[in-house]
Amino acid sequence: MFLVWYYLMLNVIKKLSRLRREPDWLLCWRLNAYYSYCFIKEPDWSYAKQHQNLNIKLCLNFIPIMNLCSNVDVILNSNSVYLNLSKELKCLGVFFTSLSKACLIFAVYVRRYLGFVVSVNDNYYSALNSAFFTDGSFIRIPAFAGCPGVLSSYFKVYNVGFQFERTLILSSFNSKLNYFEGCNSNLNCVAIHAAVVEIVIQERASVKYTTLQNWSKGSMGILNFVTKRAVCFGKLSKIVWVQIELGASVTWKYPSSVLFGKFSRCEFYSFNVSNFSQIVDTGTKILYFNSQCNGLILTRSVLIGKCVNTFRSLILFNSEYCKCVCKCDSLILNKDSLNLILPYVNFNSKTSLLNYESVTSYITYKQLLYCKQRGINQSDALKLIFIGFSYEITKRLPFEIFLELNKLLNLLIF
Amino acid sequence: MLDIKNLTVLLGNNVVLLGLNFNLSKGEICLVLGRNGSGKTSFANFLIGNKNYKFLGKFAFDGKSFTNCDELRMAKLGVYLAFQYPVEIPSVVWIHFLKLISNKLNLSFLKDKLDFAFSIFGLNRGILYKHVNLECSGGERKMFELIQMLVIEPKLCIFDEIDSGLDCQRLRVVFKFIQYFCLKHRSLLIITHNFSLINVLKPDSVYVMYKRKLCFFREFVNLSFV
Repeated sequence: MFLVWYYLMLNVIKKLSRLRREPDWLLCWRLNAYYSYCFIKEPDWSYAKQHQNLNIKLCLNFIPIMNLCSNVDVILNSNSVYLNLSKELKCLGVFFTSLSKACLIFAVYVRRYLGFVVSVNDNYYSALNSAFFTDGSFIRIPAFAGCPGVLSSYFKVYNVGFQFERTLILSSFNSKLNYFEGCNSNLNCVAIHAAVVEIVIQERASVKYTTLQNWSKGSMGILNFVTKRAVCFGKLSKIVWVQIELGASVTWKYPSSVLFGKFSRCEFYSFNVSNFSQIVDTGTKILYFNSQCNGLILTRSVLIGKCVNTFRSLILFNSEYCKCVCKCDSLILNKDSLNLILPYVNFNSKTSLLNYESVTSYITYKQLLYCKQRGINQSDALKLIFIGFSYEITKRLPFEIFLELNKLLNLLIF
Repeated sequence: MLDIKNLTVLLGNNVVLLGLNFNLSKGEICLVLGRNGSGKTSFANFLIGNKNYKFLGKFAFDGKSFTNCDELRMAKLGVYLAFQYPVEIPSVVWIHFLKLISNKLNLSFLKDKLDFAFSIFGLNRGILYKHVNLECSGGERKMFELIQMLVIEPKLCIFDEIDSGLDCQRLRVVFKFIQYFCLKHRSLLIITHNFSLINVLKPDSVYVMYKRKLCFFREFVNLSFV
């Protein structure tokens, strides 16, 4: 039974590769990924069990082949951005295309760096993604280029199935990039979204990667398992992760940074709101492999309604004179929710510093009484506190997105 | 304006006030003294409609009588309490809070009030951008209670120990401000431990909270027990 399934999947991959007209080396890469996928056990820790049993076993046997070759499941706004900024981008020498085009045109870069940051056998979902990915973004910034404005991609999921996307961002010496990713889906859209984002940063470059995810929630929602990692190779490089999570039934997402260059910095800002029995399991990993590196983690989470929120942080100090400041805050607005903040720190150095603080709070009757006594009714007071709580992180978004997000947040509390 | 007869106030299972009779007319300055734990703050909390307190008896404000506690309703009617220990709201900035409170949609109105308040109290504008009561000193918290009162313009102002925690210079300014703030349609109820207020403010009536009741004092001969 297993052999039949195995050969069926192999054929699916070969067909997919042929339909997308991919070069041979990519097919070999996919097959490699598939072999490692066969040997990795599906993760069964965490609270997502009841959701997992529903879908994965069923759908893997009947992958809808129609979705494999078309771009329907991943709608990138790169087309319009490409057209709008294309002259400026071309003058600067910036490449911003879809990954499938990049495999043909910029094969040199893709071949070298695909799977470099997030290896194929890193985890179950990265192996799955590497074998079956359909499309994604590819960005390469040449040396000394500062990207004008914000490069953005919009991902929309229309129908049931699997969404596998990959993003590959390469930045060279002394370049700057501001990247925004917006994700959305139809209501009642059950899908597994397993994406992989890889970022390679060379010396003196800085990348700011902003994500706003508003997938559909509830029992018929999206399962969001994403692997994101940035490697700061050169000296003085910098990565800034900003993520705003509003949706997805189950989220397993841990944007991590690996600091290989001396004096490199990483910052991680995250704001997540969970409601409607969502299971949000986010976190970050910061691995210090060179001295004098800095890290900053600032997360705020709000639990409205019956949900589970976990924040895991893994900080590995492997060299001297590194510093990390971590502040995790949460606001609980419901008695039935569960909030877990789990740090894991590994000190292999004698001179590094870690500053860790975690505060969990709820809105007390006295605070509401203070507001009500001044004439502010209960829902206005809750909105005031909620938006004020989010401001520290949402202020780092591009301005138009910030305005839209505030309107959206006002609707979440009623 | 305020008409209370035979009031019993309960906090949980404890009886805090028993058989209390109280009358307050418009434009009256009233002082309430009493021992620690005698029920002055509970009386103030009951007046603003704190849901933790249950009451029995007759309670009428401006001719309308009520049987249950509702904070918003009392706030809309014009009752204001300057808290003794103002609570912290960590994620809200003062300037946003004050904008939300001010009833008039005209923002220049708020600006005029703030300019007036800052000039007489001697504060600098930078404190407007602090989080509500979070990084403020004790004096600043009390000042903000007064500023909110200026913005709201209530009909009944209750001060819960406004003079504790203020230095002498500020105290003088605050007492002057309170005197001028009391107009024909506005009455004040000041809870304090300070006797000198009787000479400074020249209140219309002085009450003492004693044995869960309010007793009216016209001549204060022997006040050694308060």
